[in-house]
Amino acid sequence: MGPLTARSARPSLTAADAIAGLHAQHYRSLVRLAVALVDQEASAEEVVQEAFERVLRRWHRLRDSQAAEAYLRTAVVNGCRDRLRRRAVRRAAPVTHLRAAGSAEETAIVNDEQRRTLEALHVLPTRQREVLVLRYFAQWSEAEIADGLGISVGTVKSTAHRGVAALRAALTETDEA
Amino acid sequence: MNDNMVIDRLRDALEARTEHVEGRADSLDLLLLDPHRRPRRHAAPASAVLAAAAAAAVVGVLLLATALRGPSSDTQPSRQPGFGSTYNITAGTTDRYPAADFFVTRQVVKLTRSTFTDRPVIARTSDLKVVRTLPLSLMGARLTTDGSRVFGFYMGSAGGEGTANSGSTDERVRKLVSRDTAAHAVYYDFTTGDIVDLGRAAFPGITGMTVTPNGGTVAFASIATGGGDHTTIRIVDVATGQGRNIAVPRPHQVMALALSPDGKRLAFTETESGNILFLADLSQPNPAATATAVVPPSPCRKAAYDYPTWTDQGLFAARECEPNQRGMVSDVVRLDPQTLQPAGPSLARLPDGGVLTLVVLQTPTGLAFGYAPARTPGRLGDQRDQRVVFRENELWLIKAGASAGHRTGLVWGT
Repeated sequence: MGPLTARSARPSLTAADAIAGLHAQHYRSLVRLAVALVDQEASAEEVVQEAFERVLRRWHRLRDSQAAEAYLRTAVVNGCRDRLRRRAVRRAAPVTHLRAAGSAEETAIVNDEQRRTLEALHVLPTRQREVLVLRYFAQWSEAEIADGLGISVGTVKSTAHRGVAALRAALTETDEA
Repeated sequence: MNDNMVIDRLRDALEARTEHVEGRADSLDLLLLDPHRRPRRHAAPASAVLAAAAAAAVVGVLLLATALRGPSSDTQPSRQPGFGSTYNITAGTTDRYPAADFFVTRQVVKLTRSTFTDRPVIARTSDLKVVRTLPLSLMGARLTTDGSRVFGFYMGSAGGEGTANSGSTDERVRKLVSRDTAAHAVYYDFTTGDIVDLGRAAFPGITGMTVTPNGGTVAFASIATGGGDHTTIRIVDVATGQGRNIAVPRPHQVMALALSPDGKRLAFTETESGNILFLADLSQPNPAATATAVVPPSPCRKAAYDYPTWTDQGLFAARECEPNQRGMVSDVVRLDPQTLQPAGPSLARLPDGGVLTLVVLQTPTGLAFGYAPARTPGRLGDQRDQRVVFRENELWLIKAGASAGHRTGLVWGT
């Protein structure tokens, strides 16, 4: 039982306490998730910060800790999507081109094969990238992804399937090049 | 390279990429110091924000039936504006009361917040009249055919905050909701004013509920977490309050259930392994053991059933089918209630991306299907838990948003 579960049993806990619990438990994993989705540390931190702000502001409307957690996660995924969209519009260029312009600091930790995999991931359509990252990196269940992205479980499955196929095709190509 | 190798490689790359990511240590302090500052990214012109908010709140309900385009319009053109054409209901859900701002686009109707004070209501949109007031907010709400009772479930709060009902000023509701934190299935009787408890869910909540048209039998599914999530479906005879449980043959989430109108059979889908459709004969001593299960037949490579719905017209379900690599086709099919095999051709096409609800409507000229598309630009939780109900030639949108206070709002739509 984490701090989240304790909330429903202890109504005297304030929103700030509850947010602190959520923050302690999920902040880092959410930033990692956001980095996986937007591929930039600074944007990722902002997205997660904004998600926490939203949760705090609508705290009284959230049904319980599970609802808060679900809301938080979806806010991060949506925030990442908005960020990528704005980035694409602002630069009037595909998001993938940003990868090459990423700072040395951001790319130094990954080896060449990993870098090519990440590039291939960020070329995929947004929905496919989201489903792959959520399913295989963040380990959400299909039902959670369906919930978070507002799509059916069947669509989650088919999107994951297509995403893996597209990723394989891209990797086969770059591996051979 | 097989699929698992691709997935492993993806996981490895993302782990490496994010391994050293820590975020800002001071982010919580910043948040709590100044929680109400506007997020920097939202510094858009007010009009743009409003437009975005309006767009985000669109809930589309489309009625599909080619048979309806035609002579029906000369007979009753004005009395049934929804039939035979696209029918849009736009619901504003940005405030505490999701039912507070309903716009029905074709009729240019707006319900203002003052219409709804602190109680969920049933409203008739054509004249803005609140038809009924509910003492408590319900999720999964369904009406009986005669409109005398509304069935649904609520989350308990055990005296704490955080549920739509915890702020209720109604003593009965407060007492009910503070009993425990589990979800309870209930019905509210408009005539007597009684709220009748139909049973408590296994923790943490109810994932789906169905009721026969006359309100005689109820079935709801709940998942007990721990020890391998295990789903139980409880069947309750409403008149006697007698209930029994059926264990789901596989430990999967059951989200969509449909009782046959006579209450003797139950169709349900599970969402973990591929949306298998099950049919249980409730007259058997152990319905789970004799349940039939099917996946959609060829030509689908991959396929799923969802939203079984059972009316006097038969058993229907949404079918998602991926006939080839190119994409998914979703449609409505009628199923043989004995074998669960499709009986006849596809009846209506559903949008790519699936639907959130499906209802079968008996219209003066034949069958129509109402659905809310999954891919609506809504906010988290707002699209959850919607039901479209058709009763005596009136379309009802039953909405209980999850995150925004999940008030029950029933909007009478024709």
